[in-house]
Amino acid sequence: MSKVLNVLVIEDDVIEVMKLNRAISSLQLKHNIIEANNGEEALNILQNKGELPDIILLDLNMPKLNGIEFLTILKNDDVLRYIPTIILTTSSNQRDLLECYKIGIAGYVIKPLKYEEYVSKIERVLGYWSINELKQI
Amino acid sequence: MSQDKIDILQRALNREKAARKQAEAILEQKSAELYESNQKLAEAYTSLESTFAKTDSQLQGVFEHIVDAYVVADVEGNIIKMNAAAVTLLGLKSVKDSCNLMDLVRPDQYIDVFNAFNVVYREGGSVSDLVVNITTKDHRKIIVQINASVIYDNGVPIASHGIVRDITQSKNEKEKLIESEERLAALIQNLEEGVLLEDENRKIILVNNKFCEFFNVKKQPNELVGKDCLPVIEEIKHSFKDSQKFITDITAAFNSKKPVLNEDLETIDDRIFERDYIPIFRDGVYKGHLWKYKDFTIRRQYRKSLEAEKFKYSSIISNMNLGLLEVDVNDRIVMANKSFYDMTGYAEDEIIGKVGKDFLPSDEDKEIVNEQNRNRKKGKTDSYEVRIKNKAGELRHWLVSGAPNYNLKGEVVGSIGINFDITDIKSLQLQKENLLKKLEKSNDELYEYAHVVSHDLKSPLRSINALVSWLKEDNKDKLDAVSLQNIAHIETTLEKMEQLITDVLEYSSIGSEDSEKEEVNVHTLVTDLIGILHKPSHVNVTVLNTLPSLNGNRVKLQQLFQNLMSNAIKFIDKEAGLVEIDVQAKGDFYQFSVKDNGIGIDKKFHDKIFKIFLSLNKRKDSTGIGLSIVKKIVEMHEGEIWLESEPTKGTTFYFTLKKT
Repeated sequence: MSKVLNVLVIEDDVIEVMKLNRAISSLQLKHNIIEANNGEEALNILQNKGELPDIILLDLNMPKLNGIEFLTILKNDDVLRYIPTIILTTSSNQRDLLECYKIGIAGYVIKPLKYEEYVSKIERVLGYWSINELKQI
Repeated sequence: MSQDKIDILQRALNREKAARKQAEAILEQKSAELYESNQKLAEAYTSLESTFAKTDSQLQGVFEHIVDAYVVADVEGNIIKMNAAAVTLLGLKSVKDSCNLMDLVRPDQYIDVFNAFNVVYREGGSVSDLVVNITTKDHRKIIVQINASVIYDNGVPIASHGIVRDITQSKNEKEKLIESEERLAALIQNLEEGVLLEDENRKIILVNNKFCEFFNVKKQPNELVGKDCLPVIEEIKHSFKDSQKFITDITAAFNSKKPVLNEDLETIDDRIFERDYIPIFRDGVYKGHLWKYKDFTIRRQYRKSLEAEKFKYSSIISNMNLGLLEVDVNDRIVMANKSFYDMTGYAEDEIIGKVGKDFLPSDEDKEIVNEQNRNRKKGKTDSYEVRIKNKAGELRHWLVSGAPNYNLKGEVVGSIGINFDITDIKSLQLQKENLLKKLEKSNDELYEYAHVVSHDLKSPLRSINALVSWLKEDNKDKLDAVSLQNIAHIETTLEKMEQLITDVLEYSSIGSEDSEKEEVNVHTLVTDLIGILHKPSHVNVTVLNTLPSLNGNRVKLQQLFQNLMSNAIKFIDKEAGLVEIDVQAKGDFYQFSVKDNGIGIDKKFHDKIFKIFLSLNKRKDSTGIGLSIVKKIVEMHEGEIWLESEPTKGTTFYFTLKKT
């Protein structure tokens, strides 16, 4: 029994957001996508503790507050630290990867070149988390 | 006959009668005088006889009571009479005790004693100062001196009497004296100093071997005794460099009769002597003088070389480019060399006696110096770096090597420090450290930069790809075959572009990435790769020998083999493709080879193919970076890469990797 997820997407690239939305609709998934263009915006959204997302998809290379900085703040927050955060990035930089796992992430997915591959990865990530038991907030 | 004549004759007769009467009277008188004299003589004789008897008995009493032993013995040597002293001397019981003197004589002297007395008995005379070893009755061995004379009866010797004196002690003392005199003489003869003793008339009393040896005197020392010294002096004067001065000095000393000590003399063969002149006075009267010669050559040379050595070291110390500082136990500066003054800018009078650690070290480093000083007092030697403020107030870096300074008794009396100004070296070192840090940082930045660039370059590609795929998807029915073909071209180009970016990133991050080395089993790595690699069915990849394990970066090594093997496979144009992988141990290295029977590479390109972005064949799956990455990985493992190839026949890539 898969559930409908509230997904916070933190992504500065408009087309990337479009890709995600199109992928979800083409996959006919019912998940709610909440968009944030950067870390700051995401933190503002997360201020509302009553409506916290189930999972977060986080891009690393962003202006203002970048992915790793955002992640650090998130993992230092007693409440927000329990939200599974999956990195969705182009960076195959091993340092970034290690740093992210060190701070605490639920996954690290590299954005492929081909859109078809992207759709397939998104399908599997969201599928996986929709069958997971998550902390009730 | 004339009256005259008768008268004359008558008168003469009368004169004759008168003369005869007178003579008769004189005769009568003389006769009476003679008688008288005779009477007197008889009286005198009687008195003399009695006097003699008296004297004889007195004499006998004297003999009996004299301190020396007095013995009367018969011709056989049997004691007839003796005094108390003789009893004691000969170890007898009483004056009545009987004893034959000859029995006491040491057997080896028996004949001598017998002969001595025999001569006296036969020819008369006396035995004087006869020295005899005897054993007394009470078994003491003593030496006695005998003085004896013979007693005659009617001209026949019947006995002898004499004095026996015990000279054992004086004899021993005399022997001792002789012995010590001999010892003294031997000592003088063997002295290390040449000795010449002259009397007041300049006759030689004594001269020793060393003297003759020193100055090559032809005669033996004992031959010179009693001779005039002047010929000897004339003989030896030629041994000296200044022979004239030698003579005048001797004469001057002799004339002054005052001691002259430690006069220096140099011989022609460069020996150095010290001479003492010592006049000898007995009871204020000049009795001669002593010349003493000491060979100082070695000692003088030693002193000279010591001085030379000292000069050498002090010149080294003052001229060396290192600052030298000596301080006492209270850290007061005792001595510093020229370099030290140059290094600090201080003058000698500004720092001697001052406590160096108070004003030389920089404030931050005072504690270092204090601790080192404490160590020095414990006898520790150490070297350390310290910052010093010179007179101008500039901060200089010094390397100090300090050691405790001991006196002859082994007590610490301070310390000596050698100081080397390492400011320039230090600043170079700091520069180097800074450069390294900068380099590390810029490498780091480059790495980050490469990733950011690759991200920024790849993002638009992904977007284009997504957009194109949406165009295709949304207009599936509207697009003709050519358009679809073009869209496929766009997609291929995007892929190639993405690969290019990946390769560039890969290339730039080799060596800058944290590349931890580990034990890598190359055989497993290569056989696994053969399974993974996409290869056409007509190509056969084989490993000829078991490949070794070596220390390296697993990911990079995999990429190395992957690039070479896929290259080999890629360029095979034969119907039966063959790729062979082999290895050979070469010293510290393994030499690997990847051989194919592909199209081959023209000799003129052999160097170029390792250059980045150089692709000999325009292919969609070739970016021209693959071999550059290969070369970089080989170099990262301290190896080399080269190839042998023949166009159309095939290519073999060789590369070495360090074993550990």
